[in-house]
Amino acid sequence: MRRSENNDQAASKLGSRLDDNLTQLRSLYQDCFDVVFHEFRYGKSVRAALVYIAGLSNIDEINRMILQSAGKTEPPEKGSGIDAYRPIVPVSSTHPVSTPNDVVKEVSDGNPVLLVDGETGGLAVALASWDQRSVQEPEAEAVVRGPREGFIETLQVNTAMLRRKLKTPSLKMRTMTIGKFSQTQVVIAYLDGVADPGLLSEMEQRLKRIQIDGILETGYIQEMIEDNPMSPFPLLQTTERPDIAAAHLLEGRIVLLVEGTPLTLIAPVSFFSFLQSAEDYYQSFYFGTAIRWLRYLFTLIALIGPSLYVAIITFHQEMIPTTLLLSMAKSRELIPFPALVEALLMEVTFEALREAGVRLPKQVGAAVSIVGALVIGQAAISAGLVSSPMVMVVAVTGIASFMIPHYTMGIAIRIIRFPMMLLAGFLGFYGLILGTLFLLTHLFSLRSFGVPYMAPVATTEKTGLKDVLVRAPLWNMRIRPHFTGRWNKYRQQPGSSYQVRRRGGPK
Amino acid sequence: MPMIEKGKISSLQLGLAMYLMIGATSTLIVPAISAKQAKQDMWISPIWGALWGILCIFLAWKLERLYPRSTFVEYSERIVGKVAGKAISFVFLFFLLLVIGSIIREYEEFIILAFLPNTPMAVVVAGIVMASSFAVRSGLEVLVRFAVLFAPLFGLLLAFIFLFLLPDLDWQNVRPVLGYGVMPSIKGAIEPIAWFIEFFAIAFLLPCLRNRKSGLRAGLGAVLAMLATMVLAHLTCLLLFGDLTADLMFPVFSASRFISIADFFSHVESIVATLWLLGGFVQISMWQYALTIGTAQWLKLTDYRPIVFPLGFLVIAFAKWVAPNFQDMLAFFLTTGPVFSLLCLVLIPAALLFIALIRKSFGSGN
Repeated sequence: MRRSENNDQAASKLGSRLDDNLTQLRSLYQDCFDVVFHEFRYGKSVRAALVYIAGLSNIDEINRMILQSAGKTEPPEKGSGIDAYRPIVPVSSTHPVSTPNDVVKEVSDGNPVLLVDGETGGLAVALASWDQRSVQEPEAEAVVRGPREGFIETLQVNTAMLRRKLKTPSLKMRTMTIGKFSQTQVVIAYLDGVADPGLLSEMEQRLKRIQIDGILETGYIQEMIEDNPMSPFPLLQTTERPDIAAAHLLEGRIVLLVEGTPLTLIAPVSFFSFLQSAEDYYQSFYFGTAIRWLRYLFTLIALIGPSLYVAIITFHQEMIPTTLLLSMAKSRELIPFPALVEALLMEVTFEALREAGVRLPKQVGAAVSIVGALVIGQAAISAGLVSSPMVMVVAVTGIASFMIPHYTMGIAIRIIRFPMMLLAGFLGFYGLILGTLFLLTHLFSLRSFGVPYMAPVATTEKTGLKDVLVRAPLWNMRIRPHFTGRWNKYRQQPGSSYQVRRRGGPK
Repeated sequence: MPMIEKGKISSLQLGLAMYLMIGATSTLIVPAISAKQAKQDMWISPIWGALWGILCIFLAWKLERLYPRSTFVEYSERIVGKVAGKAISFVFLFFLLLVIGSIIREYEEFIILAFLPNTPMAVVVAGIVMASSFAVRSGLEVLVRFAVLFAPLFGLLLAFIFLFLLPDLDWQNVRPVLGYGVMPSIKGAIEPIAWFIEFFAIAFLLPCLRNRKSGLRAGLGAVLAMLATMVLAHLTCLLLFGDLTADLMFPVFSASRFISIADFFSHVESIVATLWLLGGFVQISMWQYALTIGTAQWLKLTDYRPIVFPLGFLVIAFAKWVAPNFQDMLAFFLTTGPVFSLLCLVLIPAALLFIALIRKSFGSGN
């Protein structure tokens, strides 16, 4: 009942009587102690009021720019319209609002709304300011070489950071609001003339279809718009680094920035972009290539390391060199469990330790790691619960899963490791093959906004392999990736790469 | 009739898919069988086989030229009429079922020998058929991606087996070359021929080719690559085992057990079997795809995905029914098998092409 009443009021227009307007707004903001209705006078006679939310607007500025000067200023003639007050308010940006709905929107954004008796509508004053985190180095995506700044929770700071990387009017930022209650602002950033227009409209459509009460993190949006919602793999990439976001924009992808979270979403992505780090491109290409291969190897270990060990120990002992086999047999002699149980035990414990380490307060975290290292590493072996090769395998697997530069992909790989272990424990290599085949079938059929997830592997695009098999020298990667960048093929002047190679720089 | 398969493939994907569709088993058991007849000339037998492969590629290509964008099941009805066409297609689909059954049976014996000596057959078969059904259900585009990924691995695997065995190979084993005339190598070619004429299965993939002109070249490329692989596999067995090859079940795999380099790189048969199985997976799923899409067209379904798993169950059963034991299956490969293959993969298509050409030239064809 009350809701519909409120809605009716909100949809109507603001009148010219200040008292009516205030009553209307006060009933909308009933029981909202943080909303301030400050009444004052312009000159001696004209009554006015300022509506704002404490903490969202800059009180100092309000005092200085509006309230202090109000008493001394001679107001315009009554009935000359709210626009006549714009010159009187010495703030860079003001704009008129006409309905209580607009007032609510502006006030929620932190812009105080000025209402004047005798004038229709109100004036929103851009004095929004709230406490925000300063720009810091993104902890989850650290680099040795490369910019240290990361996105923060404030949308406008983030868009500014992006704009600073790509100073061109071609960088477009469309905005939309999602979430019935949260009214979260979402910005779709893309490079005009590089990004696929079809991709853009698809993205807008998918975003429009989201009907939800609130968006608190990009994860909400990600789960709602992914091509295959049941897949354990992330089909959109997140980053809190402006340089990564800009690099993806340059390759024709779309970046979604969401108010209230430092994480942005990138679409479409391929599996391999989760195994690439920004630094691959900042360091020399020999190093970039080597690091990439190391990462592929350890991603594979993170996925099937324990299962490989279980399969070999249980079914294919002949593969182990004899001397090693003997020492392994000795260490396993007193272990009461089969290798599969041992592996599951250790892996689950490891995952638990890690999760505990992430969530615990920092002071306690150190204790957990000590307990973990001692209990798992030493005590478990001397107690005869697990064998020492197993501990080594689990440790290497743990390190391997930290090698994956993107956390979301790391999680997916960690989860899939467990069914793989079961298959390997029951069917040995055969089970491992079956598991791999199921996994690959799934990966091959996945798409991220229509782009094959495994691109460029086993697709018709061959130039893309330059950025997957190796990290080719920058001067050699002349064209953008086929699936996202074919609308604007060349990223370097044709012919310039030849000159760089021959003479070290275009003339 | 609109095409059921929406995916499109490139000529490279087609070629590699065809290569694995024939290749993975041809190197698995064929050397043993051709060694029985051809003895030291066994490596020549695949060359006779390849001629038949080229013939079959040509048959399939020509038929698809006459009836663009349609598979065997579709054009057989248009060539000889509805009833006769349905009957021919039924025989052909039944033949496909038999082929898949025997392919899976070969792998099942192989896996049990290589990996899991104590595991019941049903578990092994059900596992691989589930994986392949899952892949078939995902569509042709997914299948050919597997082919592109695994075909080079498979080719390299055989090349490496040969290279790593170089110290153990005895080149005297090939002599006397054609010492008893051409006949032994031709007799020994029965099995390679039976495998090479399976290249007619390209008839189910040609309609999905993005660029139709390149189909013939891709098919012939696959035949030549297959020929090279088979000759290499035959040579490996011949040079290592000599006449013994005929008594081995999986001669190339047995050969891989002899790999030992610096006492460290040895006992690699599990890795070899793993890679082999990856190729075998593509082979099984490609054939299962042909069966599924053919059946769907035969029944005039609009989507083939609902029948993937039911057909998968049938395939599991056929893997059991195909022969009471492995020895019987090898006997089948040497007696009835090639005849049935020849009928379905060469004679029927040739007859169809003949009728189609006549109908076209007299202007009554549609």
